[in-house]
Amino acid sequence: MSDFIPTIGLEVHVQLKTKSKMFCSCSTDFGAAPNTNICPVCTGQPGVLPAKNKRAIELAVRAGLVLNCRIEKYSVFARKNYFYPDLPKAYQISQYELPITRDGFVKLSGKKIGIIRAHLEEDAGKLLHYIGSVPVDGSLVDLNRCGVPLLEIVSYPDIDSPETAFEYLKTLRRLLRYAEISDCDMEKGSLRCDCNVSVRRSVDEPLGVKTEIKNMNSFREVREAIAYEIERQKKVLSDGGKIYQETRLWNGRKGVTVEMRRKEEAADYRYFPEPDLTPIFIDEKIIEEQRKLIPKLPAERKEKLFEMGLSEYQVDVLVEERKLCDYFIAASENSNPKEVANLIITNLLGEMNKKRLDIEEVKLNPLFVGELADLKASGKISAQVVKRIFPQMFEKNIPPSQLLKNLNIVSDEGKLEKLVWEGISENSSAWEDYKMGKEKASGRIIGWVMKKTRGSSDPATVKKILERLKDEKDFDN
Amino acid sequence: MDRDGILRIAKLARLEIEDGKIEKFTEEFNKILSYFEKLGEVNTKDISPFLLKNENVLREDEVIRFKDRDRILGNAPDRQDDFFKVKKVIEE
Ligand SMILES: [Zn+2]
Repeated sequence: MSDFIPTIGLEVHVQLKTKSKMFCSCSTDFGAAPNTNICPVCTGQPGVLPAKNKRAIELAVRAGLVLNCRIEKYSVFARKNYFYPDLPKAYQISQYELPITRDGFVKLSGKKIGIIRAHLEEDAGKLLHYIGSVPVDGSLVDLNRCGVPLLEIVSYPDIDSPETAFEYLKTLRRLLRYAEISDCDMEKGSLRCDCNVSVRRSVDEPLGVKTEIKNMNSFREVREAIAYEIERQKKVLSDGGKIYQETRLWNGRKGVTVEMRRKEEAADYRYFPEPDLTPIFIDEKIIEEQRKLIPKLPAERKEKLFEMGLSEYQVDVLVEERKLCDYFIAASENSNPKEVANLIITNLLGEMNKKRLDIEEVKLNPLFVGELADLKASGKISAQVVKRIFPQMFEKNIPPSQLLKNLNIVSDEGKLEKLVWEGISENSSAWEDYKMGKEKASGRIIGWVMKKTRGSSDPATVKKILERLKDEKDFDN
Repeated sequence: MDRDGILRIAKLARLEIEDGKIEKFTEEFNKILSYFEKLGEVNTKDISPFLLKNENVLREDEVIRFKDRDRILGNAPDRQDDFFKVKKVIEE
């Protein structure tokens, strides 16, 4: 099979973080009972007028800034006409010739992916064909989502592999979450992604016929669907077949794309300017207001975290979510950053996972984590002690110093010395080696004491005692 | 606008036109179009399409619950519980 070059462009729809819909005051609440968030406007009753949501427009501007787009001073809404039962007006209000932002890019680790445009539109409703597992003798329509504000972000076909598509989506989601533009939660439908995929034999050839793939439920599925589609097209062409311009649905269970609708003629949406809405005017004041609301973005934070000496893995975990990164920065302000990173990634995320909490719900003061990190870094407490006291710190928001007091940490040197002697007699060969100058051999004795005290003794103190005993022995000899 | 154009528009609008009426529709459609062409005679160069100040007309992002959703559901040709019901949509 000769080599083919894939060309991929993504259309990503994200739900803007608003309380109410794009053109009416219905709630955008996820998971509400069917048809509870509907009104005459979003169900397309005669004689109603849409009214633009100020916040949606501000968020679109903010998105434009984050995506390095040009923000247009003047943009208009347009009607996209088509018939489908999830669209009661028989047109979707979108933007066509004059979108609110265009010409941007998203920077990935190795390359830049261009953004053609990011424009405002409204979502459609939802169709149901089953109630539970019982098929309906028709289709049911829930219009709760109808009119929810979306931003459609259209990339240039700059993507050349499923992996790059995956990285682009992750980067895009992180940016939009950092700037609180969208939750980008595919499970809750606040992010959807359609992919245009084509292949050609060489860069000198014009682009091949593209197919559009839909219905992926996670970024992983997007990656799989693109990989499958590239292979399918390669095979068809290699066998002398033809690719048709069509929409294909991803079937996650079978891991294949299936033809859904062949586009014999270009869909005719008969776009025209929406006569019920005035244009959107964006001035410097709105742009500056939104610019001020954008926090330090992941790329910049990554650099700072590397400078603090964190590993690539630690940096990746910590910058993934803005609030987690903020927590780390607060905790490491006056403390050992590497140790803080360790505690957050191992212990804090561990507890959050166990209790199914988000970082917003964590009550533990980040300064306490910093305090614990310093105790650990200076050898005053062991990893076992950390493991023992962290859950209590987490649950009750108590500083580690207070917990250590309550914990009956064996810090009484007299008591410890007794234990060290026991350790010596239990590990006599290690003791001989240690006396002969093998530093490492001390580890076995220290380890024995730590185990005996179930981690509640301080290894540094144990070591100190051991050294003293060795010196005394030397003196005796 | 010719016969094919009329048929295409009818299809897009999900309208069925009886064979015998296509000629009549074509004629009427063309009359309407030529009437609208009158607008083209006006010189609109340098005139913005909207006669208003360059000022946003916006609504604050606040939720107001519509209280009479049952009337909306009741207006639909068919419903099942709290859903609108339509003929089976084949695609999916
Ligand atoms: Zn509404």
